[in-house]
Amino acid sequence: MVDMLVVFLLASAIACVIIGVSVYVVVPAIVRWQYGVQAPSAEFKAVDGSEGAGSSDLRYFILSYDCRQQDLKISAELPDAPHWQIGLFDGSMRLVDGGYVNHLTAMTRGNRFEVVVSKTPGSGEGSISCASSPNGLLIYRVLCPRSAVPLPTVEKVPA
Amino acid sequence: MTASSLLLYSALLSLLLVPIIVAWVAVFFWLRWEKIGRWQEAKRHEFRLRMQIARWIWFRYIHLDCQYWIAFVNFDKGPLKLVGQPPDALYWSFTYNKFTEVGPVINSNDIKLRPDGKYEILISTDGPEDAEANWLRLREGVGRGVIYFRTYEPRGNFPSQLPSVFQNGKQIIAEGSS
Repeated sequence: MVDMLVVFLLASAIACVIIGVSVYVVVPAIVRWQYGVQAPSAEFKAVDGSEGAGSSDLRYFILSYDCRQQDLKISAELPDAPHWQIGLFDGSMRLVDGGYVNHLTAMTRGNRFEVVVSKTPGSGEGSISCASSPNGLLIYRVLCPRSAVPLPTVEKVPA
Repeated sequence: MTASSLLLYSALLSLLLVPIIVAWVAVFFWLRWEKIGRWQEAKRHEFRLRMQIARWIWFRYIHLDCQYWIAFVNFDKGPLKLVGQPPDALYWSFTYNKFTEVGPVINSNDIKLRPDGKYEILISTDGPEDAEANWLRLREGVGRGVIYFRTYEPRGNFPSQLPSVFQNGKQIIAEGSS
């Protein structure tokens, strides 16, 4: 009887560990993988936002960034929209500290914006930090654009 | 019983317990769907299971310029009416999701306010009699899903106001603030 109780308690504990690992490790990894499949490695891709987290009022462009060896310079014509933003997200889909810029804080030159994604953002004007996650997903969102949104370009620059 | 056989039997039994526990949680969540009765805000660091599930499905990439909320409802049970105070934000909108499938959007540029300054939005398959009314067209067969409320650039006038949701004349989601 005692043995059965021990087996049951031990089995419950193992089951809880399996479920905990599934909830907090396995499923997020599957979701990350699913997004990784959608995002090309070195160029922006427009996505329609129909995968749960989107809205048809926004235009989304995603990119898998990797700044372990170099910085990335993102530039594009300014969109005709009341709000736009660029954010870096880590493998757990969380915003990277310092990895965010919007239409009010980005550096613009004429009718273009330039954002440098860098591990050492202090080195340049208009930089955002990927220090806590040198690779991950970059999302460029444009809210309620009044015309077609130009696709941003990506350029590798020395760190 | 030896320690190794205890471990073996425990491991085998745990394999049986895992689907039972998962099924129990799923059934509990499914039955509780419409009884939650309040808006759930997207939170990046909250560890609760329901928020974890919501983050997988609806709140994947939370950023600094926005706030998101969802309300769990059953669209099959009749037209829904949202009544609330407009938030002070650059943009705000309502849509609905059937799991990850996103519905149409009605946003602050289109929403007309009542004389008392509040808005009223109907979510239904059939359009309202008043052609001027705020209407979010519901696709057929949505069933259980979420109403999705998002604001962009809230202008520091927190707390943001969350609307009441009525169905068949009964309030199913309480008005709130966040």
